[in-house]
Amino acid sequence: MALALDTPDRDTRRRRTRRPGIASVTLVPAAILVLLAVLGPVLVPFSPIDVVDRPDLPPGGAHWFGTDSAGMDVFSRTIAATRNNLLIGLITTVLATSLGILIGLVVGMNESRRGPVGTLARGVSRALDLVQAVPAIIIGLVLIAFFGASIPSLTVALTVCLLPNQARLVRAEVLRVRGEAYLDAARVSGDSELVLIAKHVLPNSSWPALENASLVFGSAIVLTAGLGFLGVGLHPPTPEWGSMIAIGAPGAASGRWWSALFPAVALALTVFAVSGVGRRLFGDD
Amino acid sequence: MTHLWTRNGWWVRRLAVLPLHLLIFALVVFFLVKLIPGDPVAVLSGGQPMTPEQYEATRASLGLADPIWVQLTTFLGDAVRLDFGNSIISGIGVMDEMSTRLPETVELAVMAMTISALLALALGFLVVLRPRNAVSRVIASYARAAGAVPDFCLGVAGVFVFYSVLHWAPAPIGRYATSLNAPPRTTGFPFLDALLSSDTVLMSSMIQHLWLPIGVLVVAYAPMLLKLFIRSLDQAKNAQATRFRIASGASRPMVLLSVGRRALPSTIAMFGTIFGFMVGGAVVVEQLFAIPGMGEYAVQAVTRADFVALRGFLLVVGAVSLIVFFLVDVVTMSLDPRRRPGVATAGG
Amino acid sequence: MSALRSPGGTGRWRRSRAALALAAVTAFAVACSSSANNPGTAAGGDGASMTIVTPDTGITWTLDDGFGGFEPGKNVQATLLRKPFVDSPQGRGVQQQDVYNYGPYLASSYEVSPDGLTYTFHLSNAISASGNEITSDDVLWSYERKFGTPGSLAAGIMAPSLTDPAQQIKKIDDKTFTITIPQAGLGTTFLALLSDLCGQIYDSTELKKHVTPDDPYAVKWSAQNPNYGFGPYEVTDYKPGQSVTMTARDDFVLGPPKVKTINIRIVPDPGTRANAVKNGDADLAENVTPADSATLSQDPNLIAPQVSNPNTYIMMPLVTNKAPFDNTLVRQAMAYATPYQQIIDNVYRGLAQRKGPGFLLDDAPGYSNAGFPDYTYDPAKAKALLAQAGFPNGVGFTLAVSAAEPDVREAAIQIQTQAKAAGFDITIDEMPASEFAQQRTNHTSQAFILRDYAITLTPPYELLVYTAPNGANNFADWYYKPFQDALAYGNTLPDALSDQAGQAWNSAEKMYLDEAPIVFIGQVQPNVLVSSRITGYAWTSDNWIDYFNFGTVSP
Repeated sequence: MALALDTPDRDTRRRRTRRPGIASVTLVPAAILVLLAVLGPVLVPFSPIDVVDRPDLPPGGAHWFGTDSAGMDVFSRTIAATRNNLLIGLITTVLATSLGILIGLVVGMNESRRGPVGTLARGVSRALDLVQAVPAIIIGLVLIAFFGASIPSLTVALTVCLLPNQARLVRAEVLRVRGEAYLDAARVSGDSELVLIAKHVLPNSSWPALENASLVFGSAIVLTAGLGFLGVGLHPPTPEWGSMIAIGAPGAASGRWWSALFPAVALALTVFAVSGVGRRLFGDD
Repeated sequence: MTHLWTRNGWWVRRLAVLPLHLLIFALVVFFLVKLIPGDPVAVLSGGQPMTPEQYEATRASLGLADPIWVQLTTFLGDAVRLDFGNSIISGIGVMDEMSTRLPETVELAVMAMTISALLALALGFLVVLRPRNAVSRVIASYARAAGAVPDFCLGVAGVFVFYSVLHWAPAPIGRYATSLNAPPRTTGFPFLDALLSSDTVLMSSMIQHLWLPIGVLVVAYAPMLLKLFIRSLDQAKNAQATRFRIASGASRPMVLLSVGRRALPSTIAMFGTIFGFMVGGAVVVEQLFAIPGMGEYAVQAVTRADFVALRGFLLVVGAVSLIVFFLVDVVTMSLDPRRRPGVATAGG
Repeated sequence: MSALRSPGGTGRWRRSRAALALAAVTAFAVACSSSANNPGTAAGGDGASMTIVTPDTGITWTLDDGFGGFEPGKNVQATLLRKPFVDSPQGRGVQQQDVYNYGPYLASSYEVSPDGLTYTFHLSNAISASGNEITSDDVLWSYERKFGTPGSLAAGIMAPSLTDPAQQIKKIDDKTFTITIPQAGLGTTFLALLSDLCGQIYDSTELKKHVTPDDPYAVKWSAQNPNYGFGPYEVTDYKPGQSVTMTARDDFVLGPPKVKTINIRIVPDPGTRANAVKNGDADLAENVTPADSATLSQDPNLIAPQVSNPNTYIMMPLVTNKAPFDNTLVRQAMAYATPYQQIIDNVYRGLAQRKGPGFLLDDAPGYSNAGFPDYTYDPAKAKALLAQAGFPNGVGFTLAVSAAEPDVREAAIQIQTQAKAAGFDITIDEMPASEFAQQRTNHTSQAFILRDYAITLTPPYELLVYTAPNGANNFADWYYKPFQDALAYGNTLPDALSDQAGQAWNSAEKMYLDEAPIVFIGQVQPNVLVSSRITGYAWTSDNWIDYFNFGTVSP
């Protein structure tokens, strides 16, 4: 009986992932990023928001990453953007994932109930579908038109766009876990529903959302670029990778690759770092 | 009869309320579009001078002078009859545009997502079954790169390398060579129509034009599926149910089938999300390769404050998304009956 | 077969072997009776063809139902008069419009009454795409439609020359009609208007067939059925948001067009458009970025057209109805804090020019731009003016810019950086084009920056276009009585292009510039890229290309 109370899936995973050496290595890139975010503005050789030279200078000399189409220093902007992008990306990821898990849990556990609670849960589930059916760009457009273009409003808009998928992923797992034998066993042994959820359902159903968290981070930056493309991003020339890539991309097709490539590399490295932190925190691999 | 109902009621009920959800969605769309900034009359005038009388007349001709509940009921009434009105800029019926653009976009999304899904399935099993293999490790880190490289970076790089430098791809302009005729319209899906009319010239031109954009979409979106699938395969592999099957002497294919069946649902949920996204928002690939589709239509509608076009677009994309989400739920719950809402109720 | 394919298409087949191999596999797999695609109707008939790649401009076939992408529509329509083309100083087959000459087109000739008020027009024997010959009834009905449709722009554009067509236009016989204007001095502008967009005459016989009680002028019908004009081309295929195929009309009134088929492809990405022309997959790219134009114009096979006096200006209206630009000194300070040459060099890569601080084209007969304030980048002077205005510590404002125009955003960044030295703290507010249009119409933001042009190029029209009292186009919401009086005085003179009128325009414009409601930054060259295979690209005052003028260089 005591054995049955254990949650088997999680248990096997725990046992496999105790590899301390590798685990701390995965945190190094993330630490560097945080350092850059804090110190970035001090480190940059040029003002990241001013025209400092002729436009479209290739990398080399005074401008390590070249200058962009307006004549701003790409290196300084890429470094200075770290803070904005980490803020936007991390807050969005944390909010969308934690709210997504919460909503997914509540909806998944109550969806099949009779009475008002069940109706409400089913309603929330369908409402998520409706929110997700509206393209993210439109949601962003409306929310930012309302609250103005700033990092907080952008974060809220991105969270609204990215939350439904996280909730949907968790809900799909909750529906599975809900029927597992160990839950019944826990119920029989007198655990309250809340304890049950916290101890057994949460650890066994939140993994898809956590797995997806680094993707949410990347999507947040890409969506920021998409909104910037329509003109509802941060005020130019605020350094931000998404808009730097979006503005630099047309030039890249004609051979002026540097103004889009360096922020793209920064974004890719950051997503890798975030996924490394995810694996360390939640023991995913 | 009751038996049939208890077994199928869960999805029949969902299907039955789908129209209701669409109606609610239409309401949401109406107010959402009202909130988007921009004055259609200002766009229509193109900055040319207008007298106040002219301005009012133009507003009235767009139906914007009516009280809001009249506008709402007119909109809902028209929407029920599938009449989405005419674009206020081009004057072309929104339904006409949707009926050509939607199949074209859906076809592209289906092509890209089918390849992505097959790739995710095959690579996922490879990684989980042969974790120590060097190829598996490369694939696993590729999967972890999900979301790291935006599709527009891949697209620009692809065009630069394969068109500008190597000349392996034709000019990224449209689905097929400018000089060719469109296929006779039977289904509205261009490649399918070309296939149906056995037009090999057109088909080969389409393949030449589409391999790069589809490749970009696959490379960008397959890791999103793969990442989740590897993780859930891993979990399903180590679950009690698998051990039970192995212990009871089931054949290897049977065990794999069972593992796959239990691992798929979360990946399918993700598949639905990405598919829905591609139908409404694959703007980047559409713009880069000049393949006009739904996303491009929405961007133009926003840019021009074309609220009629935007409403029609949102309704169509919303309907498609809701249907896709419904199908995702049905497939998920059929693969893994534990996930059906009804089962838990029955089980206590 | 090769003649029917777009230029450069033949080479592509050879190049993309990998894709062909793939295609062959599929073709084999299908293994049905393989019938070849039969290009013919889509690509048009025999003769020279060309491919134009353009962004989605919102192609509109009717002028009378709002503003849109008029270029293809312009080429199926014809106007009463036309402004002739002359060679550009650049050479290489590039031409430009002589904007002060109004020659015959649908009207084969006209006379003016001695008082300069009544113009008598004699119509040519032009035939429409529907096969009807032009008559005075077409003219009367066209103007009835232009002025009677809500959302039509004609009334706003043609005032004050033409305000009431029913009273002002009179039919004499089938081929003769008169138009009476209120003031002789408006005559030049009036003739220019008849050569531009508002001079288009429709085939009323055809349109009347499609009239309904809800749609008395068949505007809705003509939005989807473009072939009701007397122009050089007819539309043979149109896929919204994708492509237009236009075929030459050999019975066109000025003779058969040289290029028989025009394929217009909508290509949203500016880099792809430039590359397509560079690689020979298209003959002309529209709306190319200045950086691409400057780089690719080095290629001997490509031409970035330059003309002596482009009418597109990049300008910065400073909205006078609110602080800080309700103060003339602050506006003048901004005019000294704008880095003109840096914008021309960095943003436009030399493909722009500044011939002085004003907006009027300096080549108008009788007109001179002497004696204007010398607005140059001078942060010290700007700072002094700001201090004088009561802002010794500088002042901040929001500059609205449309997301649809990357070059304008770049110019805004140049200004933001350089104006700091003068004490201006600028926040650049980028917004969707639709919101920008709304803010511009309602004068919401503190300042705007945009590219725009006057289509009709006569001094009085240019002076009025951004200053009409209470007009949506009065970007800066600026009203200054002495200026309006000076403009009105100029209009009382009998000939707008005389020396006497020129002096009047000069003194009016001087007030305009001293008051500085709008900082005119520079004249921007056409943003197109043409293959040297094509001759006859001509700059026009409406900046919509005239396809009739195109020809091909024989190989």
